[in-house]
Amino acid sequence: MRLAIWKQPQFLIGSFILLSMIILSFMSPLFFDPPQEVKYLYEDGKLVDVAPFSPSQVPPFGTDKFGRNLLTLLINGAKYTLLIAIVIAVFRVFLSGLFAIVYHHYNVKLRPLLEDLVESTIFVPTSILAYLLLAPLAVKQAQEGIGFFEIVVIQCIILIFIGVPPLISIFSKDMGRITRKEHIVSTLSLGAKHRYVYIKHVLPEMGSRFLLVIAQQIIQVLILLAHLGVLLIFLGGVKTILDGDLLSTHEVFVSLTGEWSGLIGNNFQEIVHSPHVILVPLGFFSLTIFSMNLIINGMQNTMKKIERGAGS
Amino acid sequence: MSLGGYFKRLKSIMIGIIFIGFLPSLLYGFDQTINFQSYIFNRKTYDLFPGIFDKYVYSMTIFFGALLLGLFLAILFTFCTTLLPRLFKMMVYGMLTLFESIPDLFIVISLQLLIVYIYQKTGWLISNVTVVYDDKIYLLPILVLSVLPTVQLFRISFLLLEEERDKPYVTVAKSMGLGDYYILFQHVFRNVLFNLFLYFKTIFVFMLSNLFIMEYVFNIHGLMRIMLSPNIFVFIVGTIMITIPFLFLFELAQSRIDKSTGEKKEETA
Repeated sequence: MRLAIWKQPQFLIGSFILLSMIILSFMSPLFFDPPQEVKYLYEDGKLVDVAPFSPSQVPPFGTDKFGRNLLTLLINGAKYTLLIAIVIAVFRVFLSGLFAIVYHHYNVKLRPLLEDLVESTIFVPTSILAYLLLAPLAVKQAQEGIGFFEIVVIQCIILIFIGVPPLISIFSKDMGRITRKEHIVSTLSLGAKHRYVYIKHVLPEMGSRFLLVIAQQIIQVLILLAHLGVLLIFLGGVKTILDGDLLSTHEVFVSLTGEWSGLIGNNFQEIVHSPHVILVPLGFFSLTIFSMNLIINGMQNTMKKIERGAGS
Repeated sequence: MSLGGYFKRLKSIMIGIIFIGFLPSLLYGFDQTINFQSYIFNRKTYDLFPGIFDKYVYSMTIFFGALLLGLFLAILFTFCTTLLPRLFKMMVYGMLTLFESIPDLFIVISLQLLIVYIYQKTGWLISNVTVVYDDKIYLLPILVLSVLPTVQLFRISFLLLEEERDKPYVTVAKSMGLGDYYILFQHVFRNVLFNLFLYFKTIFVFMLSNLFIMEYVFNIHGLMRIMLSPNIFVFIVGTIMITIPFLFLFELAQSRIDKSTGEKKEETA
């Protein structure tokens, strides 16, 4: 697997795009000064337009309604978005792998409780579930003032646990399939400990599967983040600031971490007036998901090749 | 399929849903609103019963309309691509990976904007893009919702078809002198359709989430949209209403699959 995957062009292209986005995001503040915020556009000393500007007025992607350059925002937000998605996906898979062992092994005792949860999460869309659990947190933050770091951690934990139940059922099915294989059964009947069998046989056999599921989960998390952005729930909580002139002030929500979904949510009300502010971040989401899909395709191709090689 | 098994599962799912509904109060320790009579949507109060049944029928109409449209288009496209030469097939597959990567939100918003744009340029409004009062729009939601299932089903059936064509029975049929199209229609397509059926759960979960975000963006007063209301009773009732028919369909489908593949259900041990 390790050697063969580097020969997959799809995998290489996908990981190149992702890596370059993350590296660019970390490096850009070191080398480039943040561009000035432009709220008003003058032409021959006359006021022509106010923010948000379209991509033709301020290349390449225009600005949002606070006059911040969209490209800078997106590059800065890339590291938060991608790293958070990766961390959540890895933890989801790790925890559900752990739980799946418990679930599979001590099936009888834990089954009633877990099965209720696992089965019912199928019928609730993840975005609604996430909203249900995260919305009270925003209220709590406004009332009690929880710290920024704390709130990110709590939100991440919730997002991790939302994804765990469906994965448990997938993994425990896989484990069931593997433990019914002959060599496992004979190992057990020869007197091996269960723990030994899981560590030595079951987990290595599922290794490539875990990687694949992590990649798929990253996509799921990204889509979930975009949905939550529209529902005005941002990672790191919101800050309400007053916008507009003295006569017509109105409150706007601003995402604190600056991840991409915050950009979508901030500008969602002005979708018809300035569509680029939403479409550009969504385009970046699509690009990320596309490169993840390329990685997944590469992984699947390698797995197929290995299987064929072992089979013939 | 046994009705007893269905009710047992339904019971356990209902317990799970009620547990999820009250999870926020368990986690954060505050009182949730429970109101059996009414809910608030867009700052107006509505009666919960019997109004919710109306919303339910509306949402399900959109859901199944989109599903059927998607299925139809996917089969049509699959059929068309089988007639293409090999090089084009690879190109189509590449395009599908690209299309599949587009988040549902992007498709919903860009189609909405497209229709506004067409209206601005030509004055021809294809469909209402947003809902102001309680009026119902059907055409646009169904179209929008059917885009991603089409792509997904197309991709799955495309892969299945490629796989199916290498199987021995196709070679046998060819050696018997049967025509290519005859084999394709009579044998290969049938098997592909059946295998497509195996993905029903994935498609369902995916479409439900799609439906939700579409109702939110278009401001449609449908079942998924009102499930967001702070009144937790609406969430519980709404989810149970979705569960009852779909669980039945799932069980039915599963029993059909088990029967035809001849595999026994997984051992519980």
